[in-house]
Order: sequence, then structure tokens, then C-alpha cells
Amino acid sequence: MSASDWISEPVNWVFSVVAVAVLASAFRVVTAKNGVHAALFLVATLAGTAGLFLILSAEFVAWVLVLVYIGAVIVLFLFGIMITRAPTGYDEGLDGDRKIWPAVLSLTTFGLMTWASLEAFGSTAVSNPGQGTDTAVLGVALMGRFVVPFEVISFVLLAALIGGITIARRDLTPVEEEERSLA
Amino acid sequence: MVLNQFLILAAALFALGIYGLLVRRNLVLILLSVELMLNAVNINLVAFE
Repeated sequence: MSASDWISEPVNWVFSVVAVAVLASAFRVVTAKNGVHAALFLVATLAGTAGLFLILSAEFVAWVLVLVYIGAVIVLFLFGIMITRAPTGYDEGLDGDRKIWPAVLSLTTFGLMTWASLEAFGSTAVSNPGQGTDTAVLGVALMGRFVVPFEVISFVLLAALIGGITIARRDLTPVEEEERSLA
Repeated sequence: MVLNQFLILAAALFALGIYGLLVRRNLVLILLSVELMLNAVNINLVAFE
């Protein structure tokens, strides 16, 4: 597909606008000097991603992304920033001093991945645009063919839950326990 | 719509996530960067669907 063909498709205009918004807000997520701002820029990134999923006609995944990520995960992050001793205001110390090597590594990764996908897929079109997600098929696949990974994930989540509780509660030392029993 | 436009966007998001992962000092902000990388993987998944 030539560049002029690509530009003549209106859906690609929408893609370009959303992609620029996603990249700009993702850039601010990693560069913002305020932790809360970084979390809120992630909301913009995720919202743009949901828009991309709608372009790809994956409506179910798009709304799950909005509900779970924007609705729950970001709120969790904001609570995390609020409750822990993470800095909430403007803070120059959020980043390390050496930025050159991370930037080089990240640009190299981007270059390699771009090169690999250009080599591998050339001008392959997206497989089935305009076909919505069939949630019934998704549910049957999750409980049939992918039931083992599904259960493994639920086990990992349970382990994370127990680990979180274990880390969060601090056991009293014997001396403190004695003081408490005396009081 | 070609497949590559989504793959390259996801690669860019993944690279930004790596940058954030290495530069940030605070654990919550590192997790935000990991979230960015996971998001890139999600885009790839849906693009290949």
C-alpha cells in the first residue's frame, strides 16, 4: 500500500490524531516532575488506547480497558501515591541523574522493534476490520481452551493478595508485645 | 489500515516504558512505566486479533 493510499483512508486520519495524543501523553508519563500528573497522563494514554481498540473494532476490550484500567488501576495508583510516602507535589528528584543511557537503550529498542515489524509485515493489512468482538466466544474460549492459564492467573493473584497483606502488616517485636499486654 | 502502524506505535510506547523504568526512582512511578509497557503489549494483541 502506497503512502497516498494510506492517507486517503479517513480511518487513518483518526488513527494519526489518536496516535499523536497517545504518544504525547505517554511521553509526559515518563517525564512529568509531579507523580500525580504522571498518573493522570497515563489516564490520557489509556483513553487513547481504548480509542485505538474501537478503531480496530474490539469494543469489548476497549470498554474493559476503560473500566478496569481508568476506573480501577489508576485510582489504585492515586491511592498508592497518596497513602505511601511518594512525593505528591512538584519534585526534581523523581528521576535519576543519568538519562543518556536509558534514552539510548529505549531508542535502540524502538529502532529494532520497528525494523523487525517492517521487515516481517511490510504492508500487511489488519486482518478483519469492522467485525465486532463476540463475547460469547471469548467466554467459552476462556473457560475451555484457556482454562489452565486462567486458573494459574487467579492463583498468582491470590498469592499477590496474601503477599501484600504479609508485607503491609508489621508483626510486633516480643518487647512491644509485652508492653502492649502490660498497658 | 496496515498492521505496522499499530505495531510501530506499540514499539514507541514500549520504548518509552523502558526509558521510564530506568530513569524513575520512585517505585510507584516505575510501576506506571511498567503499565505503559503492558499497554503496548495490549495494542499488539488487539492488532493481531
